[in-house]
Amino acid sequence: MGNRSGIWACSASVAGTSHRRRGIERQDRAIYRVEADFAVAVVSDGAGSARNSALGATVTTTRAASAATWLLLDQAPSPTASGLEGVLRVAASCVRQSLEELSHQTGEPLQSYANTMLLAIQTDTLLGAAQVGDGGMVVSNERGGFDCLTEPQHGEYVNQTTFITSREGLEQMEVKVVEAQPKYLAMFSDGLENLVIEHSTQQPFPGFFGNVFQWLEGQSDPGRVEAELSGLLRSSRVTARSDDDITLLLTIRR
Amino acid sequence: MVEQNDLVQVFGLDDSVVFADNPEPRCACLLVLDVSGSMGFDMDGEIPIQQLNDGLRFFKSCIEGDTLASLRTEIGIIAFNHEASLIHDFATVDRFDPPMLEAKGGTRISRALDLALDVVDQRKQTYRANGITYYRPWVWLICDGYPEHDTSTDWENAKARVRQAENDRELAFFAVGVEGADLTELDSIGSRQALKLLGLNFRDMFQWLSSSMSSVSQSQPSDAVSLSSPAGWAEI
Repeated sequence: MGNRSGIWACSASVAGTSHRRRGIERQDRAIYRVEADFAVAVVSDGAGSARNSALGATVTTTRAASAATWLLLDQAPSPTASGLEGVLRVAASCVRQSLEELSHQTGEPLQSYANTMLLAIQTDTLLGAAQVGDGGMVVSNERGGFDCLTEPQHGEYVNQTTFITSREGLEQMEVKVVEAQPKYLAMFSDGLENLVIEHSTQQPFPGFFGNVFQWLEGQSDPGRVEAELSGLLRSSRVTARSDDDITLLLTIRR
Repeated sequence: MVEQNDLVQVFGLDDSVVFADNPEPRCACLLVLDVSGSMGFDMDGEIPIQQLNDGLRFFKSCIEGDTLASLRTEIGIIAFNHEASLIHDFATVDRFDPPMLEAKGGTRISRALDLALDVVDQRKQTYRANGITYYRPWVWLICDGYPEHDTSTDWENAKARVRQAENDRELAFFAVGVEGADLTELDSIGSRQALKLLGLNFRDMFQWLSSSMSSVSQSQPSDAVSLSSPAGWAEI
């Protein structure tokens, strides 16, 4: 789907092999909105052991996208850097508030909806990102390479992270606003982290992102693109290295 | 400590090469094994140390049966009697060569516990230096005796170190007593109750440990890893 800035987005999200083996539904979610003057993209990964985390991830993606969209429409055509930072923070607060209300209404513990949040906003001049938990966001740079926009938030152990439902989830949120219009942006859940990020240097593997965006450049049919992306994420080359849910959201400027 | 093997260096199998070849997150499993003389005593026609040796080989085959656990579980072995040494450095199962243990000497558990905490800490540093993410390491003590050659100060200090490490979530500690072990002493080391091995059923114990390693090494953020009951190999 494209807009006036030429931004085009697509995503795929597949259940992990361990989830399928254990009969657990997919707990990753991804959503994007491309408006005339901006694009909003959100990825969320529901915690494996939290029983309502799939719903939690749905609340996070839909609430963050709608809150950010309305806030940005109010600042149209182009927000300032501080205005955009405000949009990111308010959208995250709206998510947290919605999850708290849901927990209150259902009587289910807030932690039962535990999930992570990756939120990216692109305008004609700015790129904004907010992240709670693991997973990552990678952007192309002017040298033809790729950089991590934010870093996955892990504890000491790989199976530890922060969730938007955690007590300090919002305080630990990483927020970044830069003056940039990257040609490519990729957002992914932690299921893909080991395959696309070199942990020792916190650098993206250029081979993966270079190839996937080069392929995307030649595509025009959104349905076919998302079907092929799902096929990639389900392929044995990916599932041999990751048994978790995997989500990949890509945007390009054409 | 394991001697640095020149041949390993020649063939480029040092840590950095191994980690570059297999960047999967690691789950370290350190076996701390009692090889004191009493492990060589005949128990109704069976020798504990022989059953333990057989169990180690079985453990390797169990881990090999799970592709991801094979890439992520690293097994290390400390053997101890009145001395303690790391006789097998941490290695994924493809490079795990189960040793043939021999029973001799007395029992000094504190030295083994101190060494265990040190090597787990060193292994974490190695992971971090090589950009490898990791799960909380497991330390698995198997003992058929009591702190025979430990001074009371050493024994209390070692136990306090283990408790502190557990409180700080630096590792998960488990103790298994073989027939003849002082369960009360083993129980006093970590936060989990020490388990009494049923007979010399090391095979079932290692099968349980292997399946637990599979669960841990494939757990996702926030997963409370639920371990199955040890009934079948332990008295509960």
